[in-house]
Amino acid sequence: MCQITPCTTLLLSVLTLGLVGLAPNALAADELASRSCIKCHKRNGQLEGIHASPGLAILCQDCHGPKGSHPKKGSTIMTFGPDSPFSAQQRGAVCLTCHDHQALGEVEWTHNVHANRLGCDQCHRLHPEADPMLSLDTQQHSQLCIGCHQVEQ
Amino acid sequence: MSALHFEGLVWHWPIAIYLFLAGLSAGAVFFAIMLKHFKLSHEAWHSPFVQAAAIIAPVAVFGGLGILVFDLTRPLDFWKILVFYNTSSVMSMGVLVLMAYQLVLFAWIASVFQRRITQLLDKRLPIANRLLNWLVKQEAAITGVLVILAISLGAYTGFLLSALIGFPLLNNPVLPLLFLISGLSSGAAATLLGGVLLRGNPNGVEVRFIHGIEIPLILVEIGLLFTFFAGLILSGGQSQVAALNALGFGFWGWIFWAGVIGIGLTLPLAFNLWMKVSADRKFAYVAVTASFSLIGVFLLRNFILYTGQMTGI
Amino acid sequence: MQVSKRQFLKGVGALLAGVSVYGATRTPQANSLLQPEKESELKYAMVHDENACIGCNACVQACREVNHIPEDVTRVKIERKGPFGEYPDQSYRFSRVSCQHCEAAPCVRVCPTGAAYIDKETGIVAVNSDRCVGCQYCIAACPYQVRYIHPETRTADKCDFCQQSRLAQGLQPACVEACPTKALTFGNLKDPESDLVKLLKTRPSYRAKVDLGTRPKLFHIQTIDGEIML
Repeated sequence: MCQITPCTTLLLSVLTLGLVGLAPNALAADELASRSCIKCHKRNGQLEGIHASPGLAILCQDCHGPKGSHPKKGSTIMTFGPDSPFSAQQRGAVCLTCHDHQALGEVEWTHNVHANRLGCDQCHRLHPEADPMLSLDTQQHSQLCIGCHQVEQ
Repeated sequence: MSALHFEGLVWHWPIAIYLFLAGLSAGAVFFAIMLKHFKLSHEAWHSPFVQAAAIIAPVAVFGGLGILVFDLTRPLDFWKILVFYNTSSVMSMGVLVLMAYQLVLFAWIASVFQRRITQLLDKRLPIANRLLNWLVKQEAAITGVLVILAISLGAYTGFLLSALIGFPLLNNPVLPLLFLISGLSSGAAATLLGGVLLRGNPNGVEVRFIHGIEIPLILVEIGLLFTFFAGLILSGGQSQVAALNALGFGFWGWIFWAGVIGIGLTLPLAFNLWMKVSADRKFAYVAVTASFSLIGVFLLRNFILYTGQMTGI
Repeated sequence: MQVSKRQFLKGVGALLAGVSVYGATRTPQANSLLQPEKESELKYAMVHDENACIGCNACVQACREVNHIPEDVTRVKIERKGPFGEYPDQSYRFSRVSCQHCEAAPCVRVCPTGAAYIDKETGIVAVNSDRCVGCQYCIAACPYQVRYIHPETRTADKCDFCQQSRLAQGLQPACVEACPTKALTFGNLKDPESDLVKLLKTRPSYRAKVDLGTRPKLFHIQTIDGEIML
């Protein structure tokens, strides 16, 4: 289950190569913006899992978009989870900027049948150290299906 | 998918060895009987070729059964096959034939070698001597039943596989006949090889007689193989797929064309024809021809068993 | 020659007598063609609705748990084909692979000891593991490839509609109860009021490899999803 898709590996290497070439100043500006998020989001803003790998160098705004007027009204900041005002497709599209749907489908077929029905965030967590989806045994896997698909007699 | 391990493979090489040995035993007995009946008559018991057959037939059938029992997942429960029977099961009927075959085989050997055994016993066991004398009197009946049982056993090795309806290459009416004929030719080869190893005359009447039968036998076998695969290909569907899978290139294709057709049939046929026209037969000719035949039949058993299970319906 | 011919005939006669004696000692469990008995009121069968199935494998796990099936073998499999359609609107087809409880079961026909038999009461194809020697003839003979050697008992094993584990207690098979989408329907083919018969009479169904003459009792309702396959 805990496989890194071929796409991720490619991405990792591309990013690492790209970062080496980047000017230290340009990097600093983005990083400063990212650090300012953490000032408020100390608890829910820490990125600890595989997405926090230094090689990936993912910043808050990479997924959540530019700060804009956040936290004031009229903010267009991207949010995930059950309270998100964005549609499942919009949320999923953020993940799919890096992840390849075909590779995901090959690793786990259920990706394909939920592609236009669920957002990735409805099953996956990328902020915590471990994504619960990566450590499912066969029984938990089935239980996850049953959780939504159970029909009443 | 490798040639020897693949999805759906149930029976492995021990079964092929068992099928080979059972057919070989039946063939050896068949040729020993033919030798005695048509050529040697009362002199049979001191022919090295009949002696070889009398050793090979029981050893092969015991060896085959031993391998079969060892291949069970519960070898210690093998006696249940002897106690419980199922009329619709080819295997069950085969066990019945095998039991009867072994019994009659020993009766036949005893009656043919009666004089030798009596010499060995030297009046020590009067009951055994009486039994031997009785068996000699029944020899005609014993021989008749043994011929039927040997042919049944040879065909059974094919029926065992042809009862598997899920595999078009195995579930084929020609298979029992093919296995019977190739079993007989392996028996002939084993008898020849054993005979010359026991210092039998490679240019003797026995070798000439067996070679005379072997040539038409090989031709029939080639015809059966052709019918077997032509029939499968003309049936279309999965039968065709199975036949082309087996005969095509790859490991089993090589085994078939080089091993079965080349070493097993073409070379022995050529050697036999050559020996027929040349003045006399030498030990090496007879031994090499017989060995090639044996290798060919052994490879055919493995080829059919494995490629048969490769393509299901 | 006259004498030997008579002796030969005697021998053949003895052989025939042996065969008939053996006929009397055959297994009581094997399906007998010789003695038609009064028909049982029960004939269990199962329907798998491939439209309802979501491929969650809950049936596989329930079976494993209830019947104590070790990890490397299984009595039931859900075969998945696909994906069909274009991303992101894709679907799969699911098909149940398990014992079909054939009326003319090849495994029962080939079993040398009668360890594989058809239970006359219920029509269930069952295994008497006390009689099984592990020749694996049944495994090779089953065209549906649903039999295996149980790693612990070393005997042939397969789905028995939970006859041992649940039917006796009046419960449905474990897979049927575990299915979250009610894709499995189990019941008595001889009861016209059963859900099973009603379902089979209202929906078109198919059975696998019927041309082999096995007369299987596992019915499938074909999915309408996906493309037409040739």
